[in-house]
Amino acid sequence: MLVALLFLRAVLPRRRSIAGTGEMVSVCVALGNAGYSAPVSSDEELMAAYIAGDKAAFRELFQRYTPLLQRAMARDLRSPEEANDLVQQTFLHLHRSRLDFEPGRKLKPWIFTIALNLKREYFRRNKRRYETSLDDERVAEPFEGPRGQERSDAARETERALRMLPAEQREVIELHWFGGLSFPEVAEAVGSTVAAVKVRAHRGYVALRARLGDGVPDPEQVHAGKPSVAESK
Amino acid sequence: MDCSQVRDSFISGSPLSGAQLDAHLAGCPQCKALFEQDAELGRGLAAQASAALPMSDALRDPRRGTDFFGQLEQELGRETGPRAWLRSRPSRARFLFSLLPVLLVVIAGGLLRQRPDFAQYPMARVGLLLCVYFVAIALAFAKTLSELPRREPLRDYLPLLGFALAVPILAGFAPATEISRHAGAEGALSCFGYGALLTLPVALLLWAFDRADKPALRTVCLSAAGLGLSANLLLELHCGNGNPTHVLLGHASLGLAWLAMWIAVRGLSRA
Repeated sequence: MLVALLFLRAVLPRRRSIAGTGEMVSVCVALGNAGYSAPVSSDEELMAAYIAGDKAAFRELFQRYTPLLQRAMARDLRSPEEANDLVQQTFLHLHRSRLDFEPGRKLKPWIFTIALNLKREYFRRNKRRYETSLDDERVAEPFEGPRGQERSDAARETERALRMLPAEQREVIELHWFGGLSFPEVAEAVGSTVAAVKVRAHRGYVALRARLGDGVPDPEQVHAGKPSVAESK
Repeated sequence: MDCSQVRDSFISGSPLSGAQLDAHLAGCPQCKALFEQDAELGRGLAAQASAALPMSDALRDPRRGTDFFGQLEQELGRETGPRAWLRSRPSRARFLFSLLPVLLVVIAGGLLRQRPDFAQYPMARVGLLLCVYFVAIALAFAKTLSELPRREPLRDYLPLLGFALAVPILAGFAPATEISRHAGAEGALSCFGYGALLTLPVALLLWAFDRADKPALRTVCLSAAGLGLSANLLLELHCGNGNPTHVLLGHASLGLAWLAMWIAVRGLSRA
């Protein structure tokens, strides 16, 4: 009997309330994307609404996360088609894993974990490494900005320096800066501790500054030779 | 607030903000310079984030094009049927429902249809085998079916895979009873068939529960390890033949056979 109860508990999805109110989140999406409008709902509320069967909530999540995921994928992949395919797979896995999403959990690190797992799997399957993207011609060749302007040398150098970082450092920095994840969220997404990802990020910053030269020096060097206020007390 | 706090927060990647910080920066040129450099680096990184990588318009702004979402909707539309339902169950349920058949198989195929010399079989060994094998099987299935957190590379599972390969072979060189020690090598094929047949439902469930369209290598290896251990556990309880050749060919080879089967499934799966 106990075993049967345990199985039932595991199999049946838990009742989920949205933002503690129990109300269904209303998301209005006009067809054809014209006049798109949606009341501001948190990602978690939208996810809960989607689990409850609201397909418009899924579309809103798609709209919110696609640009972020595309950037995260496109940075390491050679073609937009590959990046697009992985983004699509991320949402497909989000759909398949939706019943694993527990109330009180943050969606952003969860979705990025799925995306990163897929990206790693893609690289393993294709026997490629993140580091090989150093040879990517996009790094070496100057390319144009969104409005057709040539990117500055500094930005290109930054990108080059970023690509030269070890994958684990770059991943943390990119998730933090480009993905907009806080360090606790980054830690959750990469399956590590907050302290560990901060250390990785710090090493990445140091390496970036070392490679970028005088323009962006090591912060620790700024205080070198001068005791801090706390130390001088 | 002092310089060390500012420096630590900067190094950690989460610079402080607020009136206290502003007051400190106003009176500390070193920290002010530090933040200016941080902003410099941040600008470079932000430029990197918004830089135009070669993307299509639909990629750059999905709200402009419905094709991308339309493709996804088509994919989601295909998510119907028993397998779609099974693979979308919560991970705990998928894990429990993959482990339950193993338990049933071992009870039905091993304990209810016991080996002829079961009366002489040391009970301590039965208990130890059940515990150790079940822990290893549970670990293999848990790792196979877990979606989150980060998936470790296959090399992290080498101890488990080594265990799954070595223990059944070692069992072949350590017969449990005197009767089994003096048996011949015959009957290996029937043992192989018996083990394969009884673990087939578990294999089908693992395949159905896998959320990837094409199984990852770690899924292939860990599934094969779990299935091989399940088959060997039930055969150890069912078959009284302890001849090393028989055990190697009829029992221990099942893990490798399941590995070959999974690799074939992986090859047949759509990319």
